[in-house]
Amino acid sequence: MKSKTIKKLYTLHSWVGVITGILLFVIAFTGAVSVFGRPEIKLWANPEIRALAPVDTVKIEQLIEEYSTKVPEHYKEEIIVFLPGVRSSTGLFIMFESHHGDPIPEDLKVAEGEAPKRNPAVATIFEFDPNTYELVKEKSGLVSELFANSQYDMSEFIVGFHADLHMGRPIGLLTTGVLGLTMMLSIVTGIFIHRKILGQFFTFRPRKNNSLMLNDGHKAIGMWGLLFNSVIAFTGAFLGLAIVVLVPAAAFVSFGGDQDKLIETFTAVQEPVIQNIAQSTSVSAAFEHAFKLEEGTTVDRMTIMGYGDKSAMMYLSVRGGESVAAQTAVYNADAEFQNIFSNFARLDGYTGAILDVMFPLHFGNFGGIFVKLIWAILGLGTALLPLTGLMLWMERGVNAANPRYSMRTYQRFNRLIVGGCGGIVIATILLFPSNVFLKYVIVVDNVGPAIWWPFFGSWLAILLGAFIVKCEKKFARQLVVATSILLMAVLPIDLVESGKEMVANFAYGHQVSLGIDIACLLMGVYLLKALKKYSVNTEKQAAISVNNVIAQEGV
Amino acid sequence: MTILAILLSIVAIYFLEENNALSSKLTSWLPAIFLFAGSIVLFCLDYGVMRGIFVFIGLLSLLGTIVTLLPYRFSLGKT
Repeated sequence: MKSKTIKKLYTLHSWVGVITGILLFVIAFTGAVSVFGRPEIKLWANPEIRALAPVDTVKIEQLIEEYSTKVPEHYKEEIIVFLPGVRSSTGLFIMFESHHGDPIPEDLKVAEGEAPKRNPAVATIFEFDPNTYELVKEKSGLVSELFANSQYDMSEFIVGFHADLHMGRPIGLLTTGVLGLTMMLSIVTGIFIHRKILGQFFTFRPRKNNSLMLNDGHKAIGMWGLLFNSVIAFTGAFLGLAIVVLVPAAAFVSFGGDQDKLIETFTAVQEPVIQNIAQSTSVSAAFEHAFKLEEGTTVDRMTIMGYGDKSAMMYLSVRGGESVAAQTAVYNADAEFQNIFSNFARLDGYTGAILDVMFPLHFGNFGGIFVKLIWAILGLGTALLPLTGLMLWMERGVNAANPRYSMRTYQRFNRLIVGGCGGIVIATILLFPSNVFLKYVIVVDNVGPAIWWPFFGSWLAILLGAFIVKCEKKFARQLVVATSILLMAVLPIDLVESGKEMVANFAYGHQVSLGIDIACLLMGVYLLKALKKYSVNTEKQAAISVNNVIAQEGV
Repeated sequence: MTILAILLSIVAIYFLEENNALSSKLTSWLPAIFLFAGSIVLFCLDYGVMRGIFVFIGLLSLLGTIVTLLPYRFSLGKT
């Protein structure tokens, strides 16, 4: 490739990184934490569901039978059982739903020839205590409203922030999707501009100078993580853009713009033809069979169609086992296993298989805690890529014979990096104490919306602080110390939160929360130790920093 | 089996390293390729073909980064 073209690609690589770098760090860092969003952080945030007894499926079957008599007949069109603790529900939820809404009164019925009116879907949700199976709450109304006001905590907050920055659809998803595309662009341009890429696979010269350390670190993380980062960028771009761009486009081409129809065609389960022959539905037996389908599988929820009829069908959402993607196991009314398929299995060729693995590949939830650990550490590496790239751009700019911008501009940009990146790290770790404080000290009903304040408040405060302080380098070191302290505080906070139950939970086989506590403690100690040694090293090196240059110029 | 697969990958990566650079010798590449192949097979046996390949990709990225950056960890503060 001509050197002129490589120079252009280098310029493109630099500018894409400079423009999107901070946001990419934010997305990648929260993504690395989100890997453990469900169920690990969910369990940490809710000690009451940490060591639940095995699900009593007989009791669930009895509850469905009992509460199905308390809802109107048409609400039994679809019954969904959400098991506690497995994904995002802390309690046991049984939902009775009517897809076609409440019946339309005779006087409101349309005349012949007119389009029939269709009421929006309605439902009644019963929430039960996951230990005692006693009724806790009952809610009825439009399905859209019932789910809009659902309770959430720090685990859904951080996963949601990673997905769409809490900006909602379409802006948020579009932003993260486009960031995935820019990451792919950076990867491709990065490959071309590092011509001696193969020779530099093991090169890392940290002792020579700061610039070389950043340069080698950027290349080492980028090259070794090339395949992983490509997978993350592609799946991230797809997940971000699928709902806001790809689905509307496909619906416009094939379904006259009806997006619901398109999604229903490829993902919805088939409704059985009701025979009107009464027969009990063997819910418990179906659950028990699904639990043992494969080693390591978990069941999230069950959907029952045609409950109480001979034609009833049960669809169980199964994760884990040999499959990368989530699957649906199908049972008839007698709990006889029919078949198992993935969500997009109905698509021909490889398309369905590719669509099915998008989500698990992005979040690393297809091989247990081992794969999640790999994904989280590599996710932190992905976050370091734009950060080292930005620092490198700064170093080169400041040290250039004829800097393109004034030192003040470089310093402002440096402050933005310190505030934006350091702020998101502190804000994310602050979620742990904030969740406990809001849940147990202030005792708010719904932790999710309240947790916005400490998260965005701390981030904004640090961002502003970075522009106010005299030396942003010193401020960055203070942020690292604060991060370490917060990380080390997670264990004592959990001890206070769960008290004696922590030992009992551990004895009962629940090691996840204690694992999070110890991992945070170790990371906190390591950060402090690394900062101490790094400070000694950098003081010995005569690296030219923006602050030094400004001080020398007397600006 | 997972531990053995990880060990094979680590040894393979060390075979590829020569004076802080990627080796160009065939005598380094051949055993490394065999070891990587063994590692993939073990992961596929443990996790299934598709999952095994993705686990290997992730692990290779992680181990490569660590092996490259690890010497720095030991040299911190020794300058």
